[in-house]
Amino acid sequence: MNWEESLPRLLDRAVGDAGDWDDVRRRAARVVRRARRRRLVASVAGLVVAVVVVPPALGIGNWYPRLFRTSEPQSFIVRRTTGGCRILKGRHPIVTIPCFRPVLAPTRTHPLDDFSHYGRSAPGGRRVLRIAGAASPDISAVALLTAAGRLTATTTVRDGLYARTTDLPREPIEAIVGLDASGRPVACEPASAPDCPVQRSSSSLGG
Amino acid sequence: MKGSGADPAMLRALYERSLCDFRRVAAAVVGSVDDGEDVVQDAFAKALARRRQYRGESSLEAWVWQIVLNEAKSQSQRRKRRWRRLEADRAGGVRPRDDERSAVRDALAQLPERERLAVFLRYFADLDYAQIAAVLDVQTGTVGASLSSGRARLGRLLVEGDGR
Repeated sequence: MNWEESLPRLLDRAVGDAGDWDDVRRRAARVVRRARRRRLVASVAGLVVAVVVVPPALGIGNWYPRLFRTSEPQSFIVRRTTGGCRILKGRHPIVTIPCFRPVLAPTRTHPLDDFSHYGRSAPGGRRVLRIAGAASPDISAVALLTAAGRLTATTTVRDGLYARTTDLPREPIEAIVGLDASGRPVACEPASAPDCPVQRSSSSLGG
Repeated sequence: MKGSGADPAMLRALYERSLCDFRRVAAAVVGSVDDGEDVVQDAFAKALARRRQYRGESSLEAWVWQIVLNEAKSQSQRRKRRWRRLEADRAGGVRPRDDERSAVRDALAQLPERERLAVFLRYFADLDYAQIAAVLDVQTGTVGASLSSGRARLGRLLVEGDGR
């Protein structure tokens, strides 16, 4: 068999048909659309990774919702700085970002800006998992007010910030109490806590 | 032209001038005239859509040939997978293989890819060694060696086929 003669005969029909350049152009438009769609999907995926995956991986998870929600305290502290909000973990600044929260504590009328993290509600209050926040300069320490009316887990305020993750009470917590240099309760968060010792003449401090 | 992308008018001119060659080679790679036509349409569509990626490092024709061959190889893989599924479905089914064309086609299918593509580009598209070298991104000497060993292998395969 002479295969070199057989080769052209394999594909006789392919030679004669006319081309269709308009069909090529239509297909090219589809290629461009598909490429755009792929780029869009890749961009969205990249954005999701940047917002959802990377922050927790870098240990700065949960800061994003905090920009918009203030009703669910987290363990991160946001303080107003020039041009934005500074996010700190404990006492360590992580990032400064634009933020829209109109007023940030601590102020004289709102001396505790508490971002403590609470667990599930229990009868008589919520159990605290971590305490963290910012305090005005006249507050030297904070303590937890238990549902039983006891002050415990006293934590020193340093550089206007407080944070504690260990030796926290397992009992329900009613409020965070700010203490001045002499240990006298001067503020409660929330201020409306029924047993807030600020309205009382005396209280006992625990640790 | 160098570095400024491919001109659509030149692509169209190439399409109209060499369509038959592109189709012959694509059909040979894919194993079907109809699919070969489809491959060429898709390949030119990709070339048109990505014309800005053409940097002028090789001739426009060689660049388009590369796109056609890549498209044909992808299509060929898809076809093979389809065939395997079909043959698995109809257990014991046998494709007719008794004529001369089938024998040549089968022998071609058994060549290593570079040899097979070199044979296709030489005999179906009538490209010279330098053009084939540009399309396959190899040295001209390699094209000669591939064609030589491809021819020899093809001859052996067909003689063995006749002997059976």
